[in-house]
Amino acid sequence: MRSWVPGLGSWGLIALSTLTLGAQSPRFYPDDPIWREPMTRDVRTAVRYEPDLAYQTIENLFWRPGDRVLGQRAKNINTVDEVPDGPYFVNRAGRTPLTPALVAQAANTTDGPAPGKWTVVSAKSDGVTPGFTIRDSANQLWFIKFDPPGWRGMATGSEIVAAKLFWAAGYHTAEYHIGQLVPGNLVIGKDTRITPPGEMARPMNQGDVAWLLSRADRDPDGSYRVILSKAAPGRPVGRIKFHGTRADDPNDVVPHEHRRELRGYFVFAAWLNHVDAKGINSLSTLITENGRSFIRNYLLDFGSALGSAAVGPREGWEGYEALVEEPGAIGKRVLSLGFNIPVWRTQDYFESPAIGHLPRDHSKWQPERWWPHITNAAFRHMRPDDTFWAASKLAAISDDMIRAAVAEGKFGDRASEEFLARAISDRRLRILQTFLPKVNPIVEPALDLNGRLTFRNAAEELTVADRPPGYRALWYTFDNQADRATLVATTEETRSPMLMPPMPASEYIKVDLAAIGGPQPWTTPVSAYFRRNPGEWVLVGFERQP
Amino acid sequence: MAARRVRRAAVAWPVIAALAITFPGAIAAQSTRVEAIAEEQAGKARKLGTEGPSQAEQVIRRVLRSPLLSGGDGFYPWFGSVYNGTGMAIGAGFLKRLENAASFNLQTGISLNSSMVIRGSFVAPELWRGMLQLDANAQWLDARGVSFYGFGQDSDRLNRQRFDFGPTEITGNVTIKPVKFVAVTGTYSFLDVDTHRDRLRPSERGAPGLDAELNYHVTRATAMFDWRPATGYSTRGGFYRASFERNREARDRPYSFNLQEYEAVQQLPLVREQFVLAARGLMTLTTTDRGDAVPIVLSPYLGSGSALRGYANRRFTDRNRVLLTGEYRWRPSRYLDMALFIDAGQVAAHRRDFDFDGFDTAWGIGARFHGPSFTALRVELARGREGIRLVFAGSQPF
Repeated sequence: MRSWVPGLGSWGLIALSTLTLGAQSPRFYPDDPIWREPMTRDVRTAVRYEPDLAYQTIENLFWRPGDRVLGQRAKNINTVDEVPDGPYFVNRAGRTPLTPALVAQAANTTDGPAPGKWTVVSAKSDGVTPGFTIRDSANQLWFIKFDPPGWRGMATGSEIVAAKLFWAAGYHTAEYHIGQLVPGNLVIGKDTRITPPGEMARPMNQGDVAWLLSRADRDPDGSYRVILSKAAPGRPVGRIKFHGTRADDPNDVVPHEHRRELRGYFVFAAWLNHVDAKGINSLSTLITENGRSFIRNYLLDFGSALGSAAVGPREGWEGYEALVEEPGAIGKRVLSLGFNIPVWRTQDYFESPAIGHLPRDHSKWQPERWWPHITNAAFRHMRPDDTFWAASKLAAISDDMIRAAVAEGKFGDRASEEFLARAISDRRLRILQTFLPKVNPIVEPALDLNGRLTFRNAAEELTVADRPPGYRALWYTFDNQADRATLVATTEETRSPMLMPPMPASEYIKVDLAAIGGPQPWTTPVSAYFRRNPGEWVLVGFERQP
Repeated sequence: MAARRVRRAAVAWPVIAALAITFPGAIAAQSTRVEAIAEEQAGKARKLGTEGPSQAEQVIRRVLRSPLLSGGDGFYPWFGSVYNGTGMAIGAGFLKRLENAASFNLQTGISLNSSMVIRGSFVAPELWRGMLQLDANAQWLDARGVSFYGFGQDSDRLNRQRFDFGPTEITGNVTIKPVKFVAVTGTYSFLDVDTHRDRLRPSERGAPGLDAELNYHVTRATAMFDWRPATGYSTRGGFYRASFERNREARDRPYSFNLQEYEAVQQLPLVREQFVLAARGLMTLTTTDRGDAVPIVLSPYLGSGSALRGYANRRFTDRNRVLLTGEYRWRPSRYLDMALFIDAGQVAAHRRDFDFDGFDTAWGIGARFHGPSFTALRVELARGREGIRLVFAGSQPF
């Protein structure tokens, strides 16, 4: 007679099965979707690490760091396909009511440095752009940068505009102000040292100040237009990495190349032609609030954005080619005897001392072919659902907000300001036209107790694509614990709303929604998951696959 | 049977309990998303590391910040040419920058055919806001296997002779830059020329100055207008130069002569510098004191990577030369220029001997790897009437 009690091997199987069942997490937790990224651990041991620019360049050009498997879905998004507020990003455009005034204010909390003398605590003597770090009379640290000679407003104004718009998009940025530096108002700190090119470090003197100022644009009255950026709160601990995680940050568990806001940064950088979108132009600081420390990451240094290349006007290739061009493109141009001419060499440009150098017409601009100087792992991992996410944020930034941001640049040239605002709006439109139709653009599905399923087509709404002939919905009951869907019925309609067919009782319903006809990507369904709460169906899950 | 069941159960349940202790998270699944993420963060908190450079970054930092590559003061590697026709050379240099744009630079190198050079230069601090510049140079050279084919455009390439050339030169320059683009330079050099050949052929008349040790006081005046963005690499602008030189043999040997040289370079960028049409004209004329000759080592010549490509180095030598060059350049990359070129050159004993039908020509294709203001490597394939030659150089052709 065979015993019903299993042998030891069978016990092992049962034990493992038990574990497996125990490990089976539900697809959706009661608190889904979360809108704030949990940072549950106190960051105690973070130390400052300044990555080497040359190494970063070489690494990204030749080694392609980060996850080798491309095409993976972003891993830090919540269950409704959105990025929760967190160390890199806060939902603003499209989620909170933004106004032009708010965009103009952006991260500013003060009116600029406190009145009184500015004490120079350090100076930027390397490279070609001068800069100072000063303390105002309230002991607040500020960073000062200038316009290059002959380009009054270009670098400082462009940086302000880009900072405001990156803030509106949702990124953490510093507080920026346009100001006027009067040399007599500068006092050299008693311990301030400088390392002039080719020399040893030594105490700074007035001659050094004069030498640094000689490389900046000077106003007729002897003062200098400057951009002042307030030191970000917290202790600097490094720069944004675009792959892997920080070894010393326990809250940092998602590899950065899989963070949607860092992938989507490509779209915003393309929008504002922020070609210097690299780690060195960011700052990570350790912030302590309510007795707990965490790391927050800021985007900084937008001097090489829009029509500015910081030390001069933007060069034609910037935004169209990487620092080192693709070997294939070079080969084609070699063989063509030069007649394979890049578009940036032939298009017409708008140029003015106030805003620099920008293409005059953006109606044929191809944002998906935009290049930063150096790409990074997050940009390489970017998928169409990431670019859709970024484009949908951009859609919420209106022309009025753009104009408000441009006005903050105080370029002092009305025609140039108008052109710049129009160029930014036109580039935004090209991004919407390019990235919204690239995936199924259905957004904000909702199901009411009467069984009416409503949704919006973002591409159609923004008139960047035509309305498809119809929509098909596949209705499922959904077992949350087993993550298993069972098809019940299929319905079709020409537009929203659609009616839910008779369904068996189920706590969860899944609906796959796709266009009938229309662009090919629209036939790939988005999946919406609804949970029956008392008195309502709540959207708890949303997936958009490319 | 019951005892057997009890025994099996006694073994199995501890196994399950042990697994449960080992994988507590698996058994006790989180009840919220925040808890699930907190569990991950707790897991990472147990194995925190230190943020810092990887080993690869540490290596790159060390390499890039060494004086060899940082462009700062100190030693650096040197690649180039010791003397035309002696092949690629490698060596090292030492640069020390001083205040107010002054510098001291020392280089030494050895080429593939064992030619050697040691050269040093000192650039004095700028005076009058850079309008006046003083510099001094010294060079010791031992060039092996320098070629001489006889005089004239019709010289036979089978008559090639080789000699060793060992000049030592000390030079001082005074340059005045009165306005932008314009420079006038006055130069004095003391030049000691030493040449040796294995076999004495041809005669002194056929190869003046060969095997002789000559000393020269060289005085030179040069006026130039250079509106190219950089001398090492450029895609627009022009360069025009006139140079007058007196070479007086210090011991009154019959080798004193005067030399005039005129050069014009013009670059015409098209389609925002996607294409560049470039042209160069170079004319060198010598005159001697009565009864004197121009030693062959100091005579104008054609045939090199920058003067009549497609011919052997110093293939044509005589008292006068004319060189015309045209290039069609295109720019596949910001670091690579390609060029189709044609060179035409002629040497002659007398200026009246130049004639339009007497030019030798060469044409070819080249690739130039460059930075914003320098040319790192030029590789060219040139075809002349005597065959195809490959050119490697570390400078733009003109």
